[in-house]
Amino acid sequence: MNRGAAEIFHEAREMAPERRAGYLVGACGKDLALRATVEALLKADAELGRFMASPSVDVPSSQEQAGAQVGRYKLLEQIGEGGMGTIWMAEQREPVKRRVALKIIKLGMDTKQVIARFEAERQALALMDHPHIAKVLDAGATDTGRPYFVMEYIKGIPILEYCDTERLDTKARLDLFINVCHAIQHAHQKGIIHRDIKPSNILVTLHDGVPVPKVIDFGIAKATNSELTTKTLFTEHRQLVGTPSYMSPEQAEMSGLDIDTRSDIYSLGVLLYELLTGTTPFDMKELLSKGFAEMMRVIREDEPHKPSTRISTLGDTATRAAQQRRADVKKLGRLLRGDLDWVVMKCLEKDRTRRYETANGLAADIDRHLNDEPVAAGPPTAAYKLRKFVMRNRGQVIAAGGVLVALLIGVIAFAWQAEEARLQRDIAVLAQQGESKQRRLADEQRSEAEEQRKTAETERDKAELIATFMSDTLQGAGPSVAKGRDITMLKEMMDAAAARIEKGDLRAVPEAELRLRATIGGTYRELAVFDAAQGMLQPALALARATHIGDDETTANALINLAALLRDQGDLSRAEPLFRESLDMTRRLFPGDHPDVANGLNNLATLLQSRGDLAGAEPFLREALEMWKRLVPGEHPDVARGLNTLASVLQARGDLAGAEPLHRESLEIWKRLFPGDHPELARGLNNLASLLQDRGDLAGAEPLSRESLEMTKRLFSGDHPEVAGGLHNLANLLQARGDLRGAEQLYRESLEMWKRLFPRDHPDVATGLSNLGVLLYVKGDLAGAEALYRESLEILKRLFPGDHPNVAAGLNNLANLLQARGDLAGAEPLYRQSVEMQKRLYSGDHPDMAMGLHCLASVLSARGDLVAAEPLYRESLEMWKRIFPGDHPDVATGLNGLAGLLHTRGDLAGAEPLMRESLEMRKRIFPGDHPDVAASLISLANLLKNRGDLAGAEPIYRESLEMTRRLFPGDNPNVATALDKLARLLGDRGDLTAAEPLMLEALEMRQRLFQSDHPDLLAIKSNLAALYVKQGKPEKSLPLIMEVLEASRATLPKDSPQLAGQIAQLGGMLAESKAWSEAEPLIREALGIREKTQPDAWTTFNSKSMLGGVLLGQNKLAEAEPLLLDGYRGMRECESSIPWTGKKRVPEALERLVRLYEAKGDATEAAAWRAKLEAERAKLSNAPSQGDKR
Amino acid sequence: MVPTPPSPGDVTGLMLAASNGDKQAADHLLPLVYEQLRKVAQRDLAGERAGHTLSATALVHEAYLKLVGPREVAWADRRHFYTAAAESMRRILLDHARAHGRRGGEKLRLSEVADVAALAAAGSDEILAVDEAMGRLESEDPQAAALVRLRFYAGLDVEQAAQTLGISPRTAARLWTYARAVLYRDLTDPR
Repeated sequence: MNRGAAEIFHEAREMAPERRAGYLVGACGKDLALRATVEALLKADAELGRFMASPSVDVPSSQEQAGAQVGRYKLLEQIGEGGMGTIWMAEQREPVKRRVALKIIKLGMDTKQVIARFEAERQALALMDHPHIAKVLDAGATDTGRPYFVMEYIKGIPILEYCDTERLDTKARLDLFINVCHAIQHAHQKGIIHRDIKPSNILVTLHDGVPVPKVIDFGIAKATNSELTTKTLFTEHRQLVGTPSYMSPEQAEMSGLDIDTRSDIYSLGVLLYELLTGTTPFDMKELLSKGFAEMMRVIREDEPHKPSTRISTLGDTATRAAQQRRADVKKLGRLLRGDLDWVVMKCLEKDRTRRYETANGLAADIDRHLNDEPVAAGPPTAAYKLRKFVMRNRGQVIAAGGVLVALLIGVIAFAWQAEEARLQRDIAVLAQQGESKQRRLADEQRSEAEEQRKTAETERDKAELIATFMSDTLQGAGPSVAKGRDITMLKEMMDAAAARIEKGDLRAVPEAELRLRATIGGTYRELAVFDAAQGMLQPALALARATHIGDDETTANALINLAALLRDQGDLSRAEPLFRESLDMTRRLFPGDHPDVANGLNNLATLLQSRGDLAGAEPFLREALEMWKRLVPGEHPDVARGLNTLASVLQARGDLAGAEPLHRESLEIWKRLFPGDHPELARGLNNLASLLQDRGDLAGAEPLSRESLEMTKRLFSGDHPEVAGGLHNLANLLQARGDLRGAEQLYRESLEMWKRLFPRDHPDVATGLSNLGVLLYVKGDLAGAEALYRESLEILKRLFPGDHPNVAAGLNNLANLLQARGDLAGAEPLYRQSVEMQKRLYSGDHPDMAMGLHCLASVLSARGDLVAAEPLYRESLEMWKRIFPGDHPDVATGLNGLAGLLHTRGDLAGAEPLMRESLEMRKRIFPGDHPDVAASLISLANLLKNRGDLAGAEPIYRESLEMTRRLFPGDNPNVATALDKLARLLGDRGDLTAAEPLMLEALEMRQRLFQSDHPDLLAIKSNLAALYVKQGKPEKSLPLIMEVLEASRATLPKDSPQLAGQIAQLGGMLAESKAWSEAEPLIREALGIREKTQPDAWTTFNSKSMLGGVLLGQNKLAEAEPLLLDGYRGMRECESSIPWTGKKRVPEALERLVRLYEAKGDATEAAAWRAKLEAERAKLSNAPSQGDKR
Repeated sequence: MVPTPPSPGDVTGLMLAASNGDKQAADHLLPLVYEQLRKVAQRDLAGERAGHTLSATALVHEAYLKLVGPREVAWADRRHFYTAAAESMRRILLDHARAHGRRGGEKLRLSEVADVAALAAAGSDEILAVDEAMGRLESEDPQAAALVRLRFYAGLDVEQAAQTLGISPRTAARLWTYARAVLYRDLTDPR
């Protein structure tokens, strides 16, 4: 049959029968066959009745088309198709000309009823006026009897689609959602319940680029009775209308409960759920596959997973969902955990009285969350939580038995102050309900195999149950911890559980005890409550060994947990064997390549790295890396990270050349894994930059550091900790390059960002302040540095009231600074505080504590209290040796410190071997140039000089100076010091001509580095003056002396021994230049102060002798004599207290007496005194010669 | 979007792939749809439900939801699904016919065979007759036959069928009128 027939057929069909025949004749013409065909068709058409009429109601000729007029609206374009009908864009002419949306319902409903129901609500609908509600304007019936609704025309996209397409992050989605809530609130206030809130009913349009959500279809659901009730879920034609996942429990109830506004709240909750996670609370497919009745039951009874939990179980879907929210899965989980979880779940409560009362209430809570305020939907009460938990795990709770349940109840009741008895009752009731169900199930499956299997599983289940409960509860409290809120409650709860475990409540179920110990122990560890953690984990290991003989995963895990704890506590020496044992066990459990083995290798390596055993760590890292490469084909983050760790070990060993290719390789992997911006990539760039920085290739490091920073800025637009960190690193680099101005700016920028990110106290802010302080310290702005250190310390003290490693470190840093400023009296108590705190924090050895002891010793030594300092130096050195067997920078520091003390005491023979040992160790640790090596060289040179071995000292001074110049090109305090030392040595050797230029260079450098009152600056001026004195150039020496004198008076406390000493020294120089009249007032002044403050000190007597000498020089013999005698005798008396640096003063005093009596003409006395002088000199020549005071 | 071969059970993927021209995907679709539809139709055909109607629309829709879910898929892309659904329904009827043989009792008049339920109830002779008539229509006018399959066997309404076939509703409506007349004539023609 051809279409020609069809055309004629159609034409003829629509004609009146009487006209038909004539038409046919004309149309078919001579083709009789055609005519017969058409006539047959026409006959069939008339007779076919309902043949193939099909269920759908449609009358072809009444299909709406574009251009048709429906009521007073003209259809323009079909814009959509819903389950219920078609949606058209239409034009209204009267009374207003405007575009509208027209929804024509098609499912064969009773039109009259529909319109009537709509009319009932029309009034209320008309009163609605809200920017986020699309108004329903009108309703009517088409010519063909179908109902239609007229709505405000919204050109928009459904909200979920919009959010996913634009990849809005969580915050942006919440902002949109809040507006939706306001709209619903408005409607509720007008007495209108939407009843059909779902994503397709919320369109997002753009007004001036700003997304505006609009809720549509108000009132339609009720009118068409297509709201989701069970009766109408399937229409009489069994078409599924809408999505049951948005249906509230009361709607799923078939009791005909009155639906109120809270049903809308539920639907809003589902919407929020989907916005946040990308899925609905219940899996649609699963629901449908289970059948209708089951679907309804699930909606009514089953507890959906919290959004954060859902994310973690979704796998691939989660990854996509996270991407659409501009996050990764972990971050998304973190964002959702806590507040948002609770808000969503509150909306989804089965019991509608527990939901938010109003949509505004919901919006307000979200608002509070966005502002970091506590939400009203807090974690539910203990009893409620327990109830829910039991509901979810009914079967297992019963199986777990009384003991465990009692434990749970006890723990919760204690911590949450719930009534134990009431909880007991609740559990019993639920248990009973569950029990009968269990019995039914048991009856149904009565096979022996089942029984056996169940028994075997029971143990595991019990343990699982406990662990699940604890992690559930701990998870709930987690956010509080993260937000810095009170962890007391969490601790109490864990303490309660721990107490019960200690009591032996779980003795009968060792598996459960092990799991619980591991969980609680781990949490304690994270909270740094080390004692309690040890109390949990130590017995756990013993228990594991007892219950699992031989190699076993449980034992291996227990080993690792305990080892990690010891490591965190700083007890590295006890942690190591446990890590080793666990690694060996894991190797035996999983021979060959296995992730657990790789992780074990890594753990051990990191530990060894912390112990300083870099040589030991390296092979494990290499092995782990190779294993990862074999375990994961192609590029993998673990391989990249492994390369990074290995590189950092090599870097720490100083093998920068070896580290660089590894860093580069790691970076390549990151680049291939993540083309474009990615946080790991930014970190990789940073690591390589820091390596190059260490290699001294600052020029190479800078572009990488900048690139890393730019990428981080792009990844985290605006303020973000990673950006702040990046700024900080670049600042550090610039500081190394000497661009202190640039560094300071970036340090300040990062600090400001940290302050904005963490408006309240935060460790990063403290760090930022402290590092900026370091910069100022280097710049020489010690006052500025001190202020920042103090501020940082205050923050740390507030953050961590009581003992904390960071506070101890902060105290130490500040003390360091004060010591550098010369404020020894201020530094000492801080050092003590720090050490005391560390003693309380660390029960055994700890590197930080050793450092603290060392620093305290150094300040005591500087204050002259060598007796108190020595044991501390020894203690810290021994501690370091125990912590770091073999070479380690800290051990070298310790050796150096003790050597320095012995040196000061005069025990040069004892000091030298230690100093050499320290130097050799440093040379081994740092092949090539290194500040520590340079410092050691100087110390050794000082020692040799003081032993009188000037010839031996000189080359070492030179070596040190050259190295320091290479290490610190340009102006640097260390270079100045090295210059000074060498210059003074040359001066001591008599090579004044060589000494002078070096000393001048040092002076000028220090002038550029320091403020005018800096002690080092004064010292070098003083030394230079002494040099000029020796050279006999008073025109140069005198002005310097005066300068130093003025400065000393300005900076040193009045009438203080230090000032006296300074003045005396200067006076001595003047005396040496034979400037008697200038010298006299100074020495008198010094003597005056000393007599007042320390009348019995040898220095006072020395000053007396000096004054005598000055008078002697002016020939005032009578005045001089008593002073000289008094001075000498006094020194004799306190001879034992004269440090060896002052030993030469005694012969000086004797020498003056000789000159006195010679001047007086008393030959006998002169001879007697000369004899004494010779004896004294002889005595001293066997002893080492002395150096200058500085 | 990077095209990846759809996994075996992924009906949506198969649908979209078939829509993109993947012949294999189209072939894989049929057994899945058939299986699903057979399951749901079984209950109705067995007469277990009181007041059953064996609505092709409802059954196919239910099968669609089960296999694809509530997601939005353009009608043009659903073509292969519904084609498979129609074909499945046809086979189910034939299976039913073979299994149950002739139905006793009063014979239904053709003009009362409004939908597949009625056809199933009408008996194996009628099922086979309609099947043969469909075959003849297929060879004469494939588009009309496709339309009938979508409407009668898969239960789509005119608009849905139109969108699936890619023709306007008006054209579809006219074609439908025509097809019905053709089939009816074929079935009642005593030749």
